[in-house]
Amino acid sequence: MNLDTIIEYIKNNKEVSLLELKEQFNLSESEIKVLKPFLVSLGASLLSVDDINSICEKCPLNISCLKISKNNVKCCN
Amino acid sequence: MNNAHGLNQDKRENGTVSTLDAEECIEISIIGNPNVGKTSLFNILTGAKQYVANWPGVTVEKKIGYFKYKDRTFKLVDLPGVYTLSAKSEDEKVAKDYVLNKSYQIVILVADALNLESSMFLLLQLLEMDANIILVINAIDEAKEKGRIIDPSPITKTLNIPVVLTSARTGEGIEELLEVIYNYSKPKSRVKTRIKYPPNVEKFIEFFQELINKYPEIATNYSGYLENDWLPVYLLEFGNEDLKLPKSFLKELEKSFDLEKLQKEYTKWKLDFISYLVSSSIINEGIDWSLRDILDHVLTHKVLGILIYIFAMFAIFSLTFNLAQPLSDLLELAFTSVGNFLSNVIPVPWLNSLVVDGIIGGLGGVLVFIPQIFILFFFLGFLEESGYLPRAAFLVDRIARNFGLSGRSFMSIILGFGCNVPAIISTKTIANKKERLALTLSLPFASCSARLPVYILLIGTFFPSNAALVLLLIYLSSIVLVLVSSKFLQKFITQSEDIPFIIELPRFRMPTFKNLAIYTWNRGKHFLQKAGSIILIATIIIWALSFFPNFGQDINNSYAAGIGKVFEPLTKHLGWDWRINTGLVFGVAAKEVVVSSYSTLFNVGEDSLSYALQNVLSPASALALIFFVLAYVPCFATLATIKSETNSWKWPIFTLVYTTAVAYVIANAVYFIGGIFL
Repeated sequence: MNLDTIIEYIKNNKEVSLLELKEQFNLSESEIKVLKPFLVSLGASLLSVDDINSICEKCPLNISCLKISKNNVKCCN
Repeated sequence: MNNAHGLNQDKRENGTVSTLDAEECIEISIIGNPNVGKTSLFNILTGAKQYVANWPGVTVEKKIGYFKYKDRTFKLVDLPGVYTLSAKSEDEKVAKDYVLNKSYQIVILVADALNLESSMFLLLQLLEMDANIILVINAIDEAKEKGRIIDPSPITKTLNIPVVLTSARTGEGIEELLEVIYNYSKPKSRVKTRIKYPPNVEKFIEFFQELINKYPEIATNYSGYLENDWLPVYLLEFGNEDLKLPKSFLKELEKSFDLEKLQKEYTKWKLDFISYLVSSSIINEGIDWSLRDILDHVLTHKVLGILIYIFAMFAIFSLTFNLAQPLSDLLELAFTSVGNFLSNVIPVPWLNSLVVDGIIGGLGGVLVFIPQIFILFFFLGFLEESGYLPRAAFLVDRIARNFGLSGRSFMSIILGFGCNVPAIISTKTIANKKERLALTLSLPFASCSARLPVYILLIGTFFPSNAALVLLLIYLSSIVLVLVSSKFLQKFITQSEDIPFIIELPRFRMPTFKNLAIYTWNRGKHFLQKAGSIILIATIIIWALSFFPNFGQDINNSYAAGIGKVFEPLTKHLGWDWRINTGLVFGVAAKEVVVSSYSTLFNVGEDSLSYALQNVLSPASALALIFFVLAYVPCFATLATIKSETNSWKWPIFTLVYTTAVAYVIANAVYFIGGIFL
């Protein structure tokens, strides 16, 4: 695993997914997991896309909104 | 388990209410990567008795709880979820400053057994800071289920720290953890291990520490941090931006060392060291990775992935229409029967008209689509909960880049299919201001679920044999509209800087029926709530406007007709009369109102609304109307959100004009092109 090459690739492409890195540099799942904090420490933001969560507490309508999320908190989504 | 270790004393942030002196408590901090089960562990240890405040000067949440084990009381401080301890984000800075200040005695580093590798970086940083660490490898039950075998002894022996395997879900290992915490809280039980770095790094650390003697200001500023290797190693790793060491000091270092080269050497050593620790501790990777890799590869393939996405959406829309139609027909029959019954029993003409034509007709016209909406949400919930939807969104991201949008934008677009309000709020994560504004103003084109009843009504009436295909066309057009609009608007917004970022996709998982039911209910429930509030009010207003001033004798001369006729010169060539226009005007309150308005304004009862529409609209006019609804003025809530997010009235007003103009152009194009084929 050549960290310099990977970092150069991220800088050139601005945005990449971990999956893309895995395929591009033939990395194992374990290597990707090791790599993650190194990339964060080198200044790349990490966006985890899990549930499609809404951001209710920041919503201007949350006081009057009646929607409830699956975690039983007010939710606009 | 939960209450066994919790304290009953009431505690508050300022400590004045506390019945325990701080000195009596042994302070423990709990740290880890995001989503490793830190909060679950915190709740188990403290019995969920905790208070929440903010860390000083920042908006990062600070959670504190207490627990008692044997004869000791422990204060547990939950630190933000981080991957590293630098100062690149508020979360990281809070965690780093807390660990460096050393007001605690023990740090519990929580790692996820399925992602142990990602916690090793943080573990080494904590060791460099000379912290007393207990490594907790959580979710060990999930790891076992997936065949992942972890042997903690290489970590224990190499780093000389206690390691406990736990499951916050089953309570496995919690008693052992309490015992380890108890024993580790005795200072004599701790034996420190110093990490051995490569020779060049060792030389650098030695030189750095000698040089500090010549700079008393550094010794003063960093007193307490000089007995370990943290300061020189941090300088190597993250530079001087955060440390602010004197320039003369740095120059002296640079005379003896090539810092850039040394940083690379240190990083490479760290990567190799972590890789060694991981490979010796993880005996078996688990069984699901190969299947996951294949699925990931196929589902995110730039050609195949898009075809699969289109097919998946087509299958969902087909199932929605086919499964829901019989249920929808039943509901329609029920509303008609109730309407007929009430029509015969209410003697007062205006009240009869209000209840039967206004409320039952208008509201019923919307509520008959409950089956379609719930079934669609159920299948979309399956895609989201299984981890497929983020992958589909990732495909959109690849296309989005060609339109000047980043990966951060794709989640907003997908969110917009649910509701435009959270979608616009989610653009906060986009650092590039140009891109953010362009996306905020384009997101109203994302086809939110409120527009579904309109689509279902018109598609069911005019295109029943190709219903799924037309709905798919609408959704794909919606994505294209957002992308093209963003590209177009970015031409008029000045450029700003961008930072590199990495997208992490979730694990695949089989959704449970319970979770899907909750998902479907939570989304569908909102539709019902809207039916009982804004749609009902709008329906009554529309009925009143259509009933007065001539008491229902001539609807063509009612107030409602007056509103719709204003726009007739613009819409007559599209085949839209005043009733279509009035429905669209009231649809600004909420898009579902378009349907309830038509039920009231066509004054035909819900069972024949389809026939009434077929008499007024041609298939090309109906398709143009569908696309107009897709693109025209967003609802009030969305406009209010745009105002709030841009902090200006200029942009919601712009959106109002812009979306209507775009919708009008598209409706005309669809009508003329549709007229050739339909």
